[in-house]
Amino acid sequence: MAKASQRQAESGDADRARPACATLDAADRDRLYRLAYRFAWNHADAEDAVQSAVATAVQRADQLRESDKWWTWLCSIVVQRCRELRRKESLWQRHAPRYAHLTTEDHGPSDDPTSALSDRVRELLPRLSARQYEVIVLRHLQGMSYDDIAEVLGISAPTARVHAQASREALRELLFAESPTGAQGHEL
Amino acid sequence: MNCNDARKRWHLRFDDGGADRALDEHLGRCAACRAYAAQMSDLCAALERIRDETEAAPENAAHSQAAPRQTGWIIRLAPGIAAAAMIALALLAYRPGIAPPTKDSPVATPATEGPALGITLKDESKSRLIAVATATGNPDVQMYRLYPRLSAVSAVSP
Repeated sequence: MAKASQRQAESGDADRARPACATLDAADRDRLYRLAYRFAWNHADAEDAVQSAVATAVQRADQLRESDKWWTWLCSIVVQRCRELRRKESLWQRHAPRYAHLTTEDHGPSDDPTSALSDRVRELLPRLSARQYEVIVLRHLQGMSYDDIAEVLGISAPTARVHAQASREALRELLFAESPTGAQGHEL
Repeated sequence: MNCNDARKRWHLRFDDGGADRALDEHLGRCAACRAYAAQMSDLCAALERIRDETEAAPENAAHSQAAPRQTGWIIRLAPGIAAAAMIALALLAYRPGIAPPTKDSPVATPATEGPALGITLKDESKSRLIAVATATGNPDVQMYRLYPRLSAVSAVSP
């Protein structure tokens, strides 16, 4: 999973599980940036979140006990930074109108129904709860496995799976509110 | 299988793949669940499209100089770095036999920063740090601030 190259400490068994030096290469940095961007929908805020997260990771590097979880640990710090951004500045509400504008500016009005649907989904994403949005981003936009999502969010993999289903369901209800397909629960 | 079960199994199949004959049979005779499955498929396709679009977009912005609001973390680290630099300079400037500074001695103060004078780093430091020298109130003292360079950042255990 983690592509960040890691060098184990050479001295002492106690230090072997701890990355004495973990290098963040350009590809890793871009992946982190995409993750932050998919939360912030804003280049400056995404850049800020990544910078802040990396600085925090450098300061707390000694707290990481399992070196193979270095990448998800870093992702969790980015997610945390984005969560703080949202909490402090009501980021989603602030950028939702701006994002809608960018959507038409970047791609232009489209007759393609698939494009129109994705534009609409983008507009609706900020209306999800924080946890629902995080799961949608990590699973569908970032392409993470449920095991990795669980590590990033500090939950179990089955819980992550349940959250993903609930998130898709919530988004579907928002998206197709005018044409509900309520489950009737009867035997067919 | 009822509709609730069918919808849960749709998500399971979406996540894990594979065949589910019972689900297909239910969808074949339940129009509401067929509509549900179609809507979910459309939604997931739309999310995939967003992923593809954002997969390309940040590539340009990540290295762009257009909107580099990168100062937040530097500001947070700056006091510590500046303090460390001041201590290092004080140690370097210390000479045995010279009287310690008194209240009237000229003191370097960051509040009187002048224009950056520049400093050249060598070897590995060159790719990891940015050094900015600023003049102080004392013409004999310069203050150097060292900032990490993110593009080559290394997380090193203290």
